[in-house]
Amino acid sequence: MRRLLFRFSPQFLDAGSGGESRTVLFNYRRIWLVSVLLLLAVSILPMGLLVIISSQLAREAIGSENRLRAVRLTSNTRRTISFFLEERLDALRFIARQESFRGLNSELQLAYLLRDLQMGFGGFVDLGLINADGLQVRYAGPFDLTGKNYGGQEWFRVCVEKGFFISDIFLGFRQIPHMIIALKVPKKDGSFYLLRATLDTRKIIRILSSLELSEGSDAFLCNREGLIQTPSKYYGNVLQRFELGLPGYSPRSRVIEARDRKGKPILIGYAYIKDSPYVLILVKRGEEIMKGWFSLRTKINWIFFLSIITVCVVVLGISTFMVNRVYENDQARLRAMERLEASSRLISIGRLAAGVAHEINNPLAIISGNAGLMKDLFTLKKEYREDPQLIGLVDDVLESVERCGEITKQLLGFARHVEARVTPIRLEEVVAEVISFLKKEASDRKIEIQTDIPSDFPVVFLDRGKLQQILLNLVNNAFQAMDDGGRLQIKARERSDGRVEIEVRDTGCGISEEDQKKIFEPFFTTKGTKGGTGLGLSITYGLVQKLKGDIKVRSALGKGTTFTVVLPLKIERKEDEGPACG
Amino acid sequence: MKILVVDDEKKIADTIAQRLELRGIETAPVYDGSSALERVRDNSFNGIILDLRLPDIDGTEVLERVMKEHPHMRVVILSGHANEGDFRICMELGAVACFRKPADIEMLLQALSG
Repeated sequence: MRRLLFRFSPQFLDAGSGGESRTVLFNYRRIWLVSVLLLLAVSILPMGLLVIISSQLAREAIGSENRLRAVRLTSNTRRTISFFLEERLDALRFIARQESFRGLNSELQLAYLLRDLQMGFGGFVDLGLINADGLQVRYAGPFDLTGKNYGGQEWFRVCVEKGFFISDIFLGFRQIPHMIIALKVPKKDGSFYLLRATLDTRKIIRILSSLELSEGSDAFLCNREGLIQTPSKYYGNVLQRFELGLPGYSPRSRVIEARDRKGKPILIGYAYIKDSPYVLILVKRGEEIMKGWFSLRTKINWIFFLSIITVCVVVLGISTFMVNRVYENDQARLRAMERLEASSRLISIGRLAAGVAHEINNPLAIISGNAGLMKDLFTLKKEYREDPQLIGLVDDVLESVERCGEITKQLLGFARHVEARVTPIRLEEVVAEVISFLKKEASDRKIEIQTDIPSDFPVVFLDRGKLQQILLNLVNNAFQAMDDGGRLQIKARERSDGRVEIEVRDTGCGISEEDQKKIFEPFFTTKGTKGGTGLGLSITYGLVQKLKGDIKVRSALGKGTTFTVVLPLKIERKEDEGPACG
Repeated sequence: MKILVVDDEKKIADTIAQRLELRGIETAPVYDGSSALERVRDNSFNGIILDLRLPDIDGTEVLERVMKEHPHMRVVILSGHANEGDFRICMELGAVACFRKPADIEMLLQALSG
């Protein structure tokens, strides 16, 4: 897992931690974090707000839509029931207008009327004629109720007072739910009579059950005492009390929110039906009400969730990519700066060195001249000539001066720029030349020299002198690094990028990791005081740069060193803006 | 043999002159270009050891003028400042050899005697 993470983790994450060799311009981790957080904030925050607000709105809209629908359904149902009752009363009114009391006062006529009512309206069970005293004088219907006195009953009193009456639904002595309606009809002589009819409740029940109600919803009638009048699916049997209690009186259809006995939210739509003891109750369950809302919310949540994932992935990807690009560019710039610094350091050191060399040459000439003169004088005088110590001292001085002269010569060579003379060069010839300089030393020290240059190696167009010097310096270095009996390999190959690569490999003492960084710096030497000016490799470096090439070193202590020089196949003739000095 | 030693550094000129004297060669040290040209005129010198950096006339110019008047003069250049390019010019102008300071007296002598 760690390895997998490591593979995908961008380079900048490790920048600044661990290897201190590379300078880090910025805290890339922080930049990345800030960028990720900022992008996430500006994309997810508004999205979240939008989701919250829109779901709030949707919820409200769905809620109010549901209420509205419940109100409309309640109100429509109320109208239907109201109309049903009104219609039955109107039927009685019609009979009263059509027939005089005398006309009605006949069993046969009443039976005819009942039949007509049953056929025309339906729902009528019986029909009775009651005089002002409450005595049922005529009756048509399935029972024998003629002569029954209703005078003392409540409904009779109400009907006389109000002019009509609609009863609750009750079982009566027949144990069949029914209701009665009654109409007070005035007579010409100032007295009155009542028309009374029993209604079958099936028709009302059918009205209620024909409502298109969703699962869990219920519609039924209560009377004003809260007793259930028509069958209810969930809230009690007929003539039981409505368990949730009757809502308070309202002249219009209303919807209230409540909770059922299990504590679930419900909507109760109700309407007090005018001129009747009935209250229409419509119950909708909460989950039913918000069904649309739930499915919408699930959809919104899914979209939101997927959006967040997408945004996260995109933001992470983009941030990582961008910061990594910035990091890479910065690193490239740093490397370029380092290179520039190194080469400008080399240039200024070159100038300084040349100046120093010039100024030192004259005093050196004086020392050497004077020492030479001293030696001359000593050799002329006999007593001094015999003294080997004196001659030795002077020789030491001369030798040191010569060494100084060698150093200044190299310094001048380091800084000098001679016009590059580009000629076609066969590499194996140059290598052979270089080796020929060292043939004697190689055979004396039993150093084996192997060359591996392919026969199809291309002809390169470079400065022959510079190339020779580069190789000579490298081979010289290799010889100095090796003990007797070592092996030197010179290998060349053409690279796929159109450049050539020359490898000089020795089996010498090797260079420590730390020293590898410094070996191209002027005056850096590992040879101590045994000779070596510390300029050889830095001159080589300068020469390789002049040829628009690269030089690299690979080394293992005790095993050997490989210098790899990569050169172009040809360089342009115009080449000479280097450190100028005379 | 008589050699003219030209060097702006008095000590160098004197020392070289003295060392040549010790080897039985007649010398005359001078320290600038104009005196060098003047001394050459009396025709008694076989060779010149010439520095390129001189206070009045540039060494290469001195060389050029000397070679014009005395085409057979053996002129050896001894310079602390010159580079390969300068030496190449000097050789083209007719110098017999070019040395960088400090140089071995024997080699100078060898070049002068040809």
